[in-house]
Amino acid sequence: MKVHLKLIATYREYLPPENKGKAEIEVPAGTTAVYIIANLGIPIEESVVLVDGRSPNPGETLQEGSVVFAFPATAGG
Amino acid sequence: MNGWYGKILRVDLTNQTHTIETVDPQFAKDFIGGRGWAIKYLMDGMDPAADALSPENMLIFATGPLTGSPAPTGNRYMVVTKSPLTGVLTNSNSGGDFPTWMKRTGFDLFIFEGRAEKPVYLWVNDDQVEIRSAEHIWGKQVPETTDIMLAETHKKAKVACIGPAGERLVKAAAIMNDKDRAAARSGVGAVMGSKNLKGVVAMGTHKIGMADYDGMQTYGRAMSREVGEASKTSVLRIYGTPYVPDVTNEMGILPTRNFQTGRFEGVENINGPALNASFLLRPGACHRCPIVCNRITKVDTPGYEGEGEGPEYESIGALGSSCGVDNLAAITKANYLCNEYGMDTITVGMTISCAMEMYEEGIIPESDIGEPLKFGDADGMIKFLKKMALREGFGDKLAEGSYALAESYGHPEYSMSAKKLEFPGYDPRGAKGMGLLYATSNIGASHMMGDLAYAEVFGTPEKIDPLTIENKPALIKRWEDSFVIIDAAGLCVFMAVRYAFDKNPMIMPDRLTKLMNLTTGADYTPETLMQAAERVYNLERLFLLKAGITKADDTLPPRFLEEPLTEGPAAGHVAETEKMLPEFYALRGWDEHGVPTQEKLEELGLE
Repeated sequence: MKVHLKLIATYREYLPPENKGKAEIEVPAGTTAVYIIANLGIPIEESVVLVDGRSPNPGETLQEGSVVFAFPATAGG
Repeated sequence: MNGWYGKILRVDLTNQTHTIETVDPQFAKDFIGGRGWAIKYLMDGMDPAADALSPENMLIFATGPLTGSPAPTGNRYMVVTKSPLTGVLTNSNSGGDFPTWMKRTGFDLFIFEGRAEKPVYLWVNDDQVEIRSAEHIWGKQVPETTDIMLAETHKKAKVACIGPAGERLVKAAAIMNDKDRAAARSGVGAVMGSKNLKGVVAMGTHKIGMADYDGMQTYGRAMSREVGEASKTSVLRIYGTPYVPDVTNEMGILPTRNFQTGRFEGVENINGPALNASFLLRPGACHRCPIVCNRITKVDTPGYEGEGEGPEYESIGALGSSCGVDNLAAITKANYLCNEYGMDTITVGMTISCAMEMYEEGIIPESDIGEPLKFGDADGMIKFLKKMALREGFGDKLAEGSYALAESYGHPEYSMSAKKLEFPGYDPRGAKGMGLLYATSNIGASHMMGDLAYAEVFGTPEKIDPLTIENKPALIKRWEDSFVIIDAAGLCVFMAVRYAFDKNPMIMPDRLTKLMNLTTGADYTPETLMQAAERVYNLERLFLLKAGITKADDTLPPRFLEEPLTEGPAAGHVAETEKMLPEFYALRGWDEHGVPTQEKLEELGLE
């Protein structure tokens, strides 16, 4: 199934520059957002990972068309 | 004393005199410093019900014991006064260089009373205090005012001043320091203008005493290095706070068209990568700050040319998405203009976006404005920002802030404000702890009084669910008190929450306590420091109650309470502030009307 990946700010560097932090990726059913992010080499413990704008429950699997969004946890704006 | 000098400069502008006062060490400890000391002087020195623009109001510049210390980001000061925008207290915070230069004069606080007959400025060089004429500077913008004052005093001094907006008592007026930094919120610049005080110039040779000099050098500098190392690759140095629009947009809480929605179709034109690609010259820093989050920018786009600092996230949210504007050149130009006229970008942007919605709804007739003023009109936003600063035409109505504007047309509900202070960039329908903060904060809708968005939005110290209300009253109480400590100490919240507190959402000031003790020798524990913060917070609340605030004012605009968001993860949600309020009051030791109980006041030594 296809899911959308959105990496912002400094995490854009985990994708080629022309992607500007966005990619559509094919993943098997049962995949979690954390698995995708960790697989890119992004340190999970320092990150905020959202699925469709919300923090996924532990073990929650992605659905067709889910938006996986990640950025480094930090101080605010 | 160590950390504190225990010396206060009190300036009587009416009689053009000054006095120097000393501070009791027990008082110093019990009220921490900065914001904490200031509220005690305000409560003892004025009637909270007084007109904020009358000579009776006091204007206090307050540094803390860590301002000018080796603690990382120990370079903040607070402007504390009664706000003419809100009619309640304000605590408006700024960095830059000025706070440390003010501390070097050897005074912890500058207190201004009365009203000068003609425009003046204050020049403090160590113990030499002069009140000088500013008649020849009145009317000038912030950069020119700063340059003239430095030329007339000392080129190595630092200036805090008002621009034309403060002189005209515009209720969005800021006190600008170092040209581009702002104690922005709640119209503090109008208070300064009402006193005919154009500026304050400071420098000196004093150094604060350290209870444990070697310990503080070692601990403070090690902490600075730690923050600096982490900051080298951090999002705040590389993108500054403009990394935030992408985050809040994804969460559906980016203020869009006066908070009608929480997602903005133009977000990619106003985010951090867009700013870096188009206008960023380099990151900048407040004095000795290892984080380096400022944005030094230059715009060459025809019609919007300029150079200066900004925009930060809040300015992008208010002047950009809330006005439906995705033209980053125009937003950046508007930010420069706010700095030059001396105005708060949040209240300016939110007041113009309020006018835009009321115009589109047919409530404000075109004849009042003189032309159409619709969402997305970047040039209209800039034009009316200038009119607001100068109180020209319809700008005179805008200059009173969004609440007075909307109320004057019989529709105060269009003002996105709490206690008449305009909202910053986190829609409380999708960040429910923030909703309780906005409703209860002692200055109105400010994120700076206990920014739980760090946890609800940004994952610091860890991510919590923004859409639940469970445990939020306890968290908000803890974060409000924690921010009192940070403000009173003289630190920046960006550093302090991340590095000076422990790592769970119910934060405690573990490392901050050590910084305070090495500096002051006051033998705080995290618990006694937290209790001092609670003392300050409750005294602030008493000021509000005496100014006429009731439980009915601890609320949010109907939009947030009744109109659910329609898209994004918070779709269907409203702010649930009223459900949380009884628990919050009980945790605070307040009665059902939001009044501190006798028992609580006695516990805190406030009776």
